[in-house]
Amino acid sequence: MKKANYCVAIVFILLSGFVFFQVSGFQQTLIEDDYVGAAFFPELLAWGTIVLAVLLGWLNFKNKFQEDSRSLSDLFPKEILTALEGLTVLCAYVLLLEPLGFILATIALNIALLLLFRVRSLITMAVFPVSISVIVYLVFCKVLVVPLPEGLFYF
Amino acid sequence: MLLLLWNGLCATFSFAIFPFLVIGVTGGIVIGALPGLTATMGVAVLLPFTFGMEATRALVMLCGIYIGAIYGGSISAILLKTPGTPAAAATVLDGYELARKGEAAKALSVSAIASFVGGMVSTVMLITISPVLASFALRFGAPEYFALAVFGLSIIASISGKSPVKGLLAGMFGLLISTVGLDPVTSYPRFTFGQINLYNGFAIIPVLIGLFALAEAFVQMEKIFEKAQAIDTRFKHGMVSLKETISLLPIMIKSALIGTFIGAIPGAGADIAAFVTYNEARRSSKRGNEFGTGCIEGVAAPEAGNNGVTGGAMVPLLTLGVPGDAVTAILLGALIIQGLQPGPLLFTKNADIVYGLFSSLLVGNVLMLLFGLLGVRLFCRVVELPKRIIIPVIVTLSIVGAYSMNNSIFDVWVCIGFGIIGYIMQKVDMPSSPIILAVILGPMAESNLRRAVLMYQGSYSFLWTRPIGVVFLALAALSLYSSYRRAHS
Repeated sequence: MKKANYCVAIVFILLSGFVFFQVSGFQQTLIEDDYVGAAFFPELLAWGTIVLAVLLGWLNFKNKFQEDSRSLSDLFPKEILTALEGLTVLCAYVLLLEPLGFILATIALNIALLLLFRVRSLITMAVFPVSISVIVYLVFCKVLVVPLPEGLFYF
Repeated sequence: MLLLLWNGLCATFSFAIFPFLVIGVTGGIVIGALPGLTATMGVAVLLPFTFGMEATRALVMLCGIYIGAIYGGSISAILLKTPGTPAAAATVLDGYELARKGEAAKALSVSAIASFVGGMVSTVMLITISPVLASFALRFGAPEYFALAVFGLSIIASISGKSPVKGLLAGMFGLLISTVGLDPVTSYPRFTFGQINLYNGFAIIPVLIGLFALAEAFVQMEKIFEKAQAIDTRFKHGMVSLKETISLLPIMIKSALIGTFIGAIPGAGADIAAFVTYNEARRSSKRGNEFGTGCIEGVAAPEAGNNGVTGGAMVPLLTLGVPGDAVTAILLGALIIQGLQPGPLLFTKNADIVYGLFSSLLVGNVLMLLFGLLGVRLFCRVVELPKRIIIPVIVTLSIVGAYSMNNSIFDVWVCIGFGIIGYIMQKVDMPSSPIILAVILGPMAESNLRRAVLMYQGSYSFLWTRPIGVVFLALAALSLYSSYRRAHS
């Protein structure tokens, strides 16, 4: 966990550096008299972030956090692959959402997730994806009049 | 006044109005429970249906949706870690932990009762002391709003769990996220990288759903093949006892009063009230250290607080014609469409409608309690489903929720992005709720700080010369101090 804490501190320092770099490119606007232009607040936050990140690193160095012997491999075990596969399925779904339309894409998403979770019941595989997709579509699109992506077949 | 209220109650129970109140409350609960559909959206979507209705009927239905939706948000927050509305974000902290312990029924029943108490207290306040509250709320200028935002942000320390430093860093990250988009004072595009989608900044709903629901779905996916996970969870179906309810009453009433006060301040809504009341309950509770681990006070306080806003937000709307939050801004439109002019004259010219509205708020809260308690066992069935089924449901609802806010695929990508961030944050023991709080309060803090500095021509003396602001800043210091003491006790 100690290494993870150092990583967190470094990530936030880098983030602050990025904010300073971006803010330096902000053009001055009419409201610049009292130093409260567009760059004022992000700069203030970036300084605060650096102070807190350094404090985190310092407290970590001084062992001020509760004993946690987990290593980076404990934090990110090989089971993380299932989550990564789930994420890939989700990204593919979002890409297909507009071309295929909500119902077809959501049926495909749910079948893919059930396969990923090794659900073997054919009834579940057949009934669940269709019913959840149709119910959500009817509630959002027809009852609450919230438009969802229509795709090729207009549903 | 009592006679007018009695007439209003009689009208509310009439066949011409009561069914519309029932439809409004149930519809509101469903809308609130669905991720991505907020009370504002519910009222806005159903507003056109009221155009042809008689004024009282229309307003009663819209108010029913409002109170139902604010409560409904807690159902999915407790059961799925997916707050239906931003107002339910604070309820997740203890509600979901209670559900994980198998006490979803208790959490849901506390939520229904607390929402009822919050709604009733705020309605009584609305009926009795609304003119006083409204004039006080109007004293708020930029310095006071900034101090209120600082007070709200001070809560980050108390919701940061084991490491306040990591929580504060998460809060800073949230504040930085809130600066994305057009600058609120000069309209200069910041961190937009030429993306038009970023000009309005990140919408709160996709960020909220990503950090809470999707991140949790990824964590559950990782554990899906663990043996313990394969066993179906069985829940205790016992609701909160009468003894527990009575012991929670002081917290509920205090939170309701705070919620009413915050609701009466134009621009401060149910989401802010929920976090403020959560923090206050934690600060004053003997079990403060148990907050965040599944503590019923942690559900009761934000739920009473956010429903307390429903009556509070109507105070400036009805007495001054100034909406207290986004929903009441739409209700203002509804009043005008119905030919009514909100303001002091409304109470004399259209007293029947005003008191009809008050009565329907009282009855609507009773209906909300009834439907909430009756539905507890039904709602619990959702969590009893196997994880292999529930995760696809969460993922589907998360994506639809993120999309439906602005009908934007970009928002869906934002939701997934924050899902990944939330997942990594869980791994490194970093709390994600400070991000939500900071994204909600960031724009309020920034714009009012800058306006105040401009008003005082570069001086920061407003920090110690404005009494209301000083009170809020002192409360913020007190909140930080009590969090520090708790962390070191």
